Amino acid sequence: MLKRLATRIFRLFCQPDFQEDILGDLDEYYEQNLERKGKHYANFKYLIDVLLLFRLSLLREKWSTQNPIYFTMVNTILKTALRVFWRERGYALLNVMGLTVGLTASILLLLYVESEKSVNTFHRDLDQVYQVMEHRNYSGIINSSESTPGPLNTAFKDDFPEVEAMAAYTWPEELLLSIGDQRQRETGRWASEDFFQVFSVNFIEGNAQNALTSPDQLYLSKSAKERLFGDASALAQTIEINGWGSFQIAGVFEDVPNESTVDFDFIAPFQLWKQRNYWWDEWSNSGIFGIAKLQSGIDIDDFNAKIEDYVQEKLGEKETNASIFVQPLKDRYLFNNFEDGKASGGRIVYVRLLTTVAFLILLIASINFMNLATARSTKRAKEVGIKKVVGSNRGLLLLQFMCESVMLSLFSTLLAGLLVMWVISPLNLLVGKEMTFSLIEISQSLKLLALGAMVGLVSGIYPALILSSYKAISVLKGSFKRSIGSNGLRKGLVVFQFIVSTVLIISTLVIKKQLEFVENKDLGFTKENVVLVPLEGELYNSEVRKQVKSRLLANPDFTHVTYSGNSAQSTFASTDEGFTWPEKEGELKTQFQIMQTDHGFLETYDIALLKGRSFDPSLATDTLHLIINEQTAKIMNVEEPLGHTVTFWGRTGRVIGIVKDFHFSSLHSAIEPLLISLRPENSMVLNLRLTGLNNIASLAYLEETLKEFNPNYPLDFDFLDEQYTAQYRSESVIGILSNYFSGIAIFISLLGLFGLASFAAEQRTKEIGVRKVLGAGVFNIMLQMAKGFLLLVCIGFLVAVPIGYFFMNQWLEAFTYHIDIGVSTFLIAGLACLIITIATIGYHALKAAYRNPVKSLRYE
Amino acid sequence: MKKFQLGEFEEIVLLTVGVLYGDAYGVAIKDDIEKRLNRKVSVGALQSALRRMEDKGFLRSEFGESTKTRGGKRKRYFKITAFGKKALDFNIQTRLDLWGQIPEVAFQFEIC
Repeated sequence: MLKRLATRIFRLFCQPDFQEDILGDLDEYYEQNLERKGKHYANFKYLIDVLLLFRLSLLREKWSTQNPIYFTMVNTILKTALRVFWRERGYALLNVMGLTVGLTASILLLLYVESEKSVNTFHRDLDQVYQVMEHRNYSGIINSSESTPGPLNTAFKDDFPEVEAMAAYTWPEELLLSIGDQRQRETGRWASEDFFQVFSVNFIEGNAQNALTSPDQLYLSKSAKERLFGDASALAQTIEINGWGSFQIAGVFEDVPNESTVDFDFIAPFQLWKQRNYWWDEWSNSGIFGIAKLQSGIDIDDFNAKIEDYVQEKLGEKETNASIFVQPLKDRYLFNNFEDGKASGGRIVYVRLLTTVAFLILLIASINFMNLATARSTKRAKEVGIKKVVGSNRGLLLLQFMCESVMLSLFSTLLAGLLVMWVISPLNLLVGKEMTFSLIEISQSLKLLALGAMVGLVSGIYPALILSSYKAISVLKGSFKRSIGSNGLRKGLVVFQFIVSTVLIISTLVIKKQLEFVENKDLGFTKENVVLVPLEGELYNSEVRKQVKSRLLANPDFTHVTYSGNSAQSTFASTDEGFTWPEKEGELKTQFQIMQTDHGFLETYDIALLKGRSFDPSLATDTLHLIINEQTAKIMNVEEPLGHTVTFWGRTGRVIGIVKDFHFSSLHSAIEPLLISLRPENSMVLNLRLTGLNNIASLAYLEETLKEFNPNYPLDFDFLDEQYTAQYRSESVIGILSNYFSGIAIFISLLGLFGLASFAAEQRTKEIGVRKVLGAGVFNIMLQMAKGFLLLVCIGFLVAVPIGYFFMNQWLEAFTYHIDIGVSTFLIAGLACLIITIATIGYHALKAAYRNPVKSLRYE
Repeated sequence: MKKFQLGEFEEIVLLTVGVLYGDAYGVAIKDDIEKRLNRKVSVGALQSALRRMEDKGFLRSEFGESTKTRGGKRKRYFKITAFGKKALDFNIQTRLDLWGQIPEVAFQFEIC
């Protein structure tokens, strides 16, 4: 075996003349060794001898001479390429610019996509971790959310063997942590025993053993620990949470990565929390979140079918509209939308969209390269002819042209890499991410290299095929004029570029208009100059609240001060059965949103009353009455809703007012029926309307006042309009991205057009000369020059309009309240394309038109 | 004299080819050198030296008859050419000259 292999190797490299006798010699040694030292030794020795025979003087000719020839060839190719680049620096520059900008843009987009995709992927056993979710069916409309019944926490694990671990946790809460005099607000959650078994964190101090089993354990993130304890060890230290008593630090973990749907800076034991939240233990209430670790290899659809009626079973007689299901945690971020109880995309749409845009931009840049290369191929036809005559084959020519394109593309990639490193941090600021990029990092630079090589190959292969196919005879005979075949394709590619660019421009315009619409939409209340302060500490005391209110109103900067369960922009809770009126039909399961307020809520927010009155401080019975919105009035379906008897959460009273519908949820969803009830005891927020004339001083006054009444808590406030804008964060990120990237796409397309125009002007020098001699004017010639290009741009525009309309209409449909894509959008996009096209080719057209015909025709 | 350049190993091989006149093929040369000089010779070194000297014109070679041993492969017999003889002469003459010119004193190894 070994001997045969060795013989084969030897035959491969040794010069054929020598093979017979040397192999004979080797056979002789083999026999000798076989006799003396046995088979193994002989075989082994044979192989060693063969390997030692690998000597220059014994090699085949090809081996000793061909390699250097290849080396020289590549050397020549590189040298020619550099010379060509230098001779045609303008075009090389255009290409490098286009490719660099295109690569930079698509690398940035791909990094963004990567970072979106990496959300939640840091968990160990990722495939086994699931978010427990709940569908609620409201008369046919299914709402899906993470909010689930509390008792699931323990029951789920007991009832289903598939569930390895199950942890309940609460919504993020900002609490004041203090050690001695040092106070620090931290945001965290309360979580049950299994939490750290399901949710992967790396412990720096302490560990997950027996975690969260005793009610005084507290776990801190690394950064929270540093804020509270500095560099010192925190383990077993005592810390106070205002309102909750003292805790012992049982562990410190690495910060939860930015790419996580669940984040927190501390974890406190759920068992303490549930003592104060009596409602958690009922199957009919939802509000607790749950993550579960299932056994590996579970079929998720089967499991979901199995647990569908679980809540109903637990409730027995009492009918519920809730059913639970699980969603893989890795899908939680990207597939975040549900429609009719089924996952219907969400962020994944944007991820796919941006990936497509990234590749389209690369394609546009590659097309530039192809077009410029094929357009200028006539210039290199002679070179190809000569090379073929002196014996070069097509393969070598292909290699040469591919080398050129890969060189250009790799050089652009390097520049793009540097550019990305430079712009990544401003981009991070814009889109609120923590993306990193460095050429020094091997994995990233390897990917970059692959991308660059790919772009080089893709954009180089077509021109290389064209160029290398030229026939030496026709090229050198002089009858060869220009590549006719590639002309049509070139035009097609230009049209394609402009389709993509125009679609991107249309999208940008639509997104921008919709965002402006969102910003300026009349919400039914005034969102400017409203300050929100969450209630904490002493402010839960209604006496203190009264004093604070009167103190604040003493300052003329504050026009209204009121307490409520929530701002006008969000609702506190919702109910379906808790609100009834005599005519209500039993099966009606509409959800009514609830706002619990104090006096002066409507006035603070400027909410318009259609009928009736607001809550009156002088009437004590107003706590029984309700104010409703138009939607509720419609659903009640009674002749005169105002003054009608209604019962809400155990209080029976009348409807005393009907407000005009206002947008208390985002513009993605329609305005829902709303109940406004006077229940100041449930206040969570202090709402302040300022005059807006002197905000800095007003806020200082606010801080001072609150410090006096509530000394333990530093001031924490938000402006309502900022909260409003934050609701549309993902849309505004897309707006920003589309803004930049459609600009980049059009820039690259124009670079290509610029190159082609200059080439056309050069080609038609003589034609223009003749035309001028025969009396053509400057305008006429310019028109001649521009006609072809304008036609292409127009075709591109016509194709782009329906495509852009289709996509943007789909995007807008996510908003219940949206703009209509008017004709003006398309007109603006078309006009913009036209103007910049004319500006781009105008330079060359003008230059050609003004050229002196004597000069261009002199050599004829 | 670049013309007659001959390495140490090459010289030994050339001389051995001469010694084994008529029977100088790979295995025989290797065995002979190993026996006389008591040193290991690798096939690679030997073969490349042989071909190198054939290129330089010190040796010529021809195939012998094919035999049943060696899997029917023929042996290649080497012979010294006249030019090879000249090179050997030159080499040996140079050394003898050098040897002759060493002064007597150089070989007096008495204890000082």
